Amino acid sequence: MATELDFGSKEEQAYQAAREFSKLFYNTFDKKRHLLNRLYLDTASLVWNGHSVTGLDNIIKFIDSLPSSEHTAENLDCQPLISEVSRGQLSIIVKVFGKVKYDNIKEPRAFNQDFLLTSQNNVWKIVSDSLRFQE
Amino acid sequence: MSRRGGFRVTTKYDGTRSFGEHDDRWQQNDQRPRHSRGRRPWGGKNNNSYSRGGGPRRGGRSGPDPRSRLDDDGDVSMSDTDRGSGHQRYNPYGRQNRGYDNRRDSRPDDQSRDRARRMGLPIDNSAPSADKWYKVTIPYGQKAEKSFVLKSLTNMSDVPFKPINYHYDQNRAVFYVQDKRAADALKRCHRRITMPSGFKMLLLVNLTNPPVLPMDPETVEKLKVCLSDRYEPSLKALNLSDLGQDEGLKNAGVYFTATRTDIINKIASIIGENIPELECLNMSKNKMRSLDIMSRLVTHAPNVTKLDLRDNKLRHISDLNLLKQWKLDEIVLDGNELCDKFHENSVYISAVRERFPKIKKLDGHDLPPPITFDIEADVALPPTKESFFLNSEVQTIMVKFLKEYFTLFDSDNRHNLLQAYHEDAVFSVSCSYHVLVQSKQANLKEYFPHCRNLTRAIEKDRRQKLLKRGNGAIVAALFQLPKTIHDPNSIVVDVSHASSSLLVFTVSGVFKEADSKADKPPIRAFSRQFLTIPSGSGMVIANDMLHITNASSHQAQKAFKQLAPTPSSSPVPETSQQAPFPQPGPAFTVEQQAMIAKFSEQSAMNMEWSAKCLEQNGWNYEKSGQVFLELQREMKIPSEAFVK
Repeated sequence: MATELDFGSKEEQAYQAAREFSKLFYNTFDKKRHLLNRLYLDTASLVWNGHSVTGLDNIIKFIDSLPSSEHTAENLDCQPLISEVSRGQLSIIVKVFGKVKYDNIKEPRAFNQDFLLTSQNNVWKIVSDSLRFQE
Repeated sequence: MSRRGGFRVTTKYDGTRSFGEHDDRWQQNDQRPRHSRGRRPWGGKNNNSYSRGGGPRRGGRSGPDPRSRLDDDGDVSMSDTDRGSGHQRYNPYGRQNRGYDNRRDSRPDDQSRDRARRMGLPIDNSAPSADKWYKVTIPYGQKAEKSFVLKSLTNMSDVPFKPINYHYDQNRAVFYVQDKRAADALKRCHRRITMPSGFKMLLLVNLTNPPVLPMDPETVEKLKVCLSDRYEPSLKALNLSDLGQDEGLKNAGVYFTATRTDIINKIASIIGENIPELECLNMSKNKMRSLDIMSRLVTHAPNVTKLDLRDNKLRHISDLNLLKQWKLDEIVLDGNELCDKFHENSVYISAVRERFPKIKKLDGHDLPPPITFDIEADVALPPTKESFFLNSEVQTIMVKFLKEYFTLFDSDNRHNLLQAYHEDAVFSVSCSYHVLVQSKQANLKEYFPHCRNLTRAIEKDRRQKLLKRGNGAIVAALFQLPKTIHDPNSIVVDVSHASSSLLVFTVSGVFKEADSKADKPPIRAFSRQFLTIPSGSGMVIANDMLHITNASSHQAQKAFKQLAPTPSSSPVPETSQQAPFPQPGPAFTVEQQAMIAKFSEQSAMNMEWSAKCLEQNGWNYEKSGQVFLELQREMKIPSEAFVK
């Protein structure tokens, strides 16, 4: 079991991870969607506007069915999970508010997207992903 | 009638029209010369210029195609071989349209008459002209009283006339008549009336476009009546055919022409407000040369699937691009020049399908199904669904939890939320203006001091200070946020991760601020990610991350619209599936829970109201009971309190 970090360090770690993640995730989603599978855990779950998809393969299949996209994040926040929950494994939650424009769909949408990320062998992976349009 | 005789020439022309016109290039570039007979290369102007605006037409003065005048007023019989010397095509219509009787130009234009006159062409003054407008201008007419002018003209004119839109344009008095005989009679009054100033009254009478009268509320009401007459609810069909001839509209002072975008826009907003479900739209016989005028219809009537554009003046298949947003399965284009550009039916069908891939019926004919590729070019988004709870067990827990949480959150005392949070719980709030709302947004200044938006540069100290840790700090932070009233009907829950030790879910919806001084408190939208862990029989919040923005206009419109629940409806409006209000959760102590259960049993009120009553009376059971009896006697307890 890793040594428990103090809260300040966990916050710092969460902050750095969330900043990088939000850029990487949307860049991959918009431009290199075929690489998205590397970001999700095998057992990850996705809830997309009420559609529930579980398991990496299904998530990738679902995301592939969406039109090409262009996300812009306007707001980002993150929190570390508390020790009682994380039990030594570093995990964070990330919240994004922004807009997304899909190919062939005229109006952009405002969206809220929430993630739970966990570190596995020093790599951050998405445990859960929840997106909803604000409309 | 020689007018029609003139047009008949065109059939001869039509018969010889052939090459080039089905070539795709025509759709792309209007400026290419056309090789068919009767068409000349034209100058550099994009011919779209003809289709816009209601003013005098551009071009043509340098030498219009004489044949084009036939379309306006012409009583000119010319052979097809006659060629004008000009290089600017004046009127591109009329030659190809087959067999129309109504050849009069939609915008009778005195200039064309003048042109004809200059060219030494005879003008048929006896042509029927019921829908022609004449503008009567009286120079210096402003100096005389309107009553004097009209009275003396009525006396002098040998034909009665009805002046429309009498107004002043600088020092001129101007009005309109829609009657050729009256116009001619008025013309004869020129210099025959002496004005009070001693000068003779001058009268200039010209053919003109229909007057544009302002749309006052009364006119709009009349317009609505006309539209409802034209609407067939059982078919969701609106017939806007031949609007220019609608007597009801004319009586309302709405003189439609294909350039009156304002009228169509008004109609579009009436549709949007009253019949957004509209599916069949008939826009035939409106003399439209362009579909620009219909752009608002596309946005206000998004569900149109059947469109009739028969007998308009559309020249290019590409005009339809403006309507691509409509997922049409039927369209009628017959009677538009663009149809004549296709010599092969298959090319025509493909061109229409390119714009409307779902087309099944074209010009009344069923089309064979298209052969498509497996990769759909036009990928649509999956439709948005309701809340996702994973399973009914989670739903029950969740509904209970949220009901309690937001009841307390919206109450005067958020301190009661203390026990809803784990002692090490983490909370933060961030806010940003809505990314898509273009109009001015309500100020979020009460939230910005607490805002932890990490997309902006934010100092580490401040960032960490804004991340609240521990239930005491969290409740203190919650106290600093404005008091709220959440709209229970707006709440949507998505459970994204559930295990025996952990629930991760997002709650979103709208609220308004309880203490807002504004007449119309702004509607805010929130999205809140919770992470909860089991605790005793319930659960506690380990993480709570809140984002606040302004509601979208659609959200604001819907907010707080649903009436308070009636006895017959559900006591838990958050979700479509009902869960009875459950045992109080972690927000109450064991003793309190027992007290609530007992109180509920004795009072017959549900748990929620029992808890509310006890809470408001400081958990004094007897006092609560007295207050309850008193309120019940005064019939002040809403029936929903008894819905279990």
